[in-house]
Amino acid sequence: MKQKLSTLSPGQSGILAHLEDGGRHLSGRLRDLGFTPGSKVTLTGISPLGDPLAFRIRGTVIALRRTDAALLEVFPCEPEEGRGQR
Amino acid sequence: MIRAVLAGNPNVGKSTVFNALTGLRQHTGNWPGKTVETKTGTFRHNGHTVEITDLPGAYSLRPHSPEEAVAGDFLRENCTCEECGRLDCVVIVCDAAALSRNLILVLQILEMTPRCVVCVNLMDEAKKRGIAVDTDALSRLLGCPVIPCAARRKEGLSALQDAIVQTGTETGNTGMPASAYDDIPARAQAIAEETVHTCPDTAYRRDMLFDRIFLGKWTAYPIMALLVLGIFWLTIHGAGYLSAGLEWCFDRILPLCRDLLLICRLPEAVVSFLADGVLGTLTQVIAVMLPPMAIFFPLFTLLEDLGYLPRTAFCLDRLFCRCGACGKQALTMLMGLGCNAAGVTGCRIIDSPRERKLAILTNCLIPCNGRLPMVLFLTGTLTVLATGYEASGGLQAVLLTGTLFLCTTVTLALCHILSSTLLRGTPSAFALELPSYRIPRVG
Repeated sequence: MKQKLSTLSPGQSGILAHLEDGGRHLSGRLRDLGFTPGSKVTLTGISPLGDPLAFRIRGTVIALRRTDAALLEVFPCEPEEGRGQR
Repeated sequence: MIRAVLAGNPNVGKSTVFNALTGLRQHTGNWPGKTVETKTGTFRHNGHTVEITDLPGAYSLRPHSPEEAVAGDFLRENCTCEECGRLDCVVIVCDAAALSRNLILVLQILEMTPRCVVCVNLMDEAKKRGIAVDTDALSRLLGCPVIPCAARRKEGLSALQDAIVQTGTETGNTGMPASAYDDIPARAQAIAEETVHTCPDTAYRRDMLFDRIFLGKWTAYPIMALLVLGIFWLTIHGAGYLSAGLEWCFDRILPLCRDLLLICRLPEAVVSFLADGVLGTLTQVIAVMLPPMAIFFPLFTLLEDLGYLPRTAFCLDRLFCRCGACGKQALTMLMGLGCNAAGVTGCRIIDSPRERKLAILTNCLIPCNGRLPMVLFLTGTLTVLATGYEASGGLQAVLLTGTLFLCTTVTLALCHILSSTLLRGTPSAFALELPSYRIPRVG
């Protein structure tokens, strides 16, 4: 089941499926930042004001706004057990 | 002479490598976009002179902002044409902890020229976090020398110099081995999977712990306020002692100068003009203005090196977004607190031209280091006028923090007005890298 990247819950990971260009030349930028299909992405944090979201991808943490993260789709992984990443 | 250039993703330590190689002291900081312009230095190794240029960081050779184009254009101009190929070696600096992403740029540059040396920097940080990089395997897969390095500790530098000289003087080059993948990001990931061994338990634990404190729902803003307050408090207190010391010195030097002028048999009016007027004012200004600047700036640099500044952008982005601006403006405003010129040049990290203009235009509203003593003087005088008592250091710090809060509010309001009148538009996309925390180095 694909879902939008912005709908991951904190600590949850997903495998990126598809990049949809919102007409703002974002997809090229995101590809260079490592957001490419097949990459594993984890939601590591949410800004205290609720937006933007912080994602760990390819060893780096990138902050994206919810509207931008909604352009990406992921196959969510099962939540990790025990000491899960927050 | 060998001409080399340092390229790489933002915030991988290119400037630190540059400083370590050349012995220069280019300013460094832990946030993507610190280096604004290219800088050139030289070093000698094994009888060869190497001229090396430090480029601003770029995530890709396909630029998404005119500033990022600087690095791409420079490389294209200097590498692609054979006759005018004035570059002998491209040193691509990588962050060992984020090799998978860094390799995208490495592969893009390798497609352009085979005369590359890959420098895997920050090996010490990666090792501490349980990330191991097999540089020999990486070298085989990329078809170019790969040097592990820890530029802050000056480790691996002579090996890097050897590789630069060797690549720069060689004529024939092997080039990149063929790969099953056409797509660069997929290929980067495949290479990284083969060469990087990560222990996921320890890799990001420290960063996550710090982020839980610095970015926590209830702790983020109190900590932000406390950090600003703490820095101001230390500045004011330290400056008090330093000012007193300077004044004590000047009080003893001034009469001597006066006597010296009198010995020269100058007219009384001229002596008074020089001693009381010129020197008196000069020493007063130095005693009042210099100490706060001399203390504030190093303290601020510590915060910058820690990697905290981009986090403020992360915490405040929503406010700026509401006002039609970009959260990265918070970072440029903080830089403006150190120096408005640095703040304005730092605005290059904002991609959208409209939002960048907003940030540049409103940066002057943040009182910079040089204006801090003036603000201090004003808040101090106003406190005396209002209450009749002299403000203590703690109260001064609170007042200064309040002033900064006021400045931020005015900035936000002005951004809101500007983006609904002169600079109309909706907020554009936002992608900001939050770097790993690094322990600041003094000196």
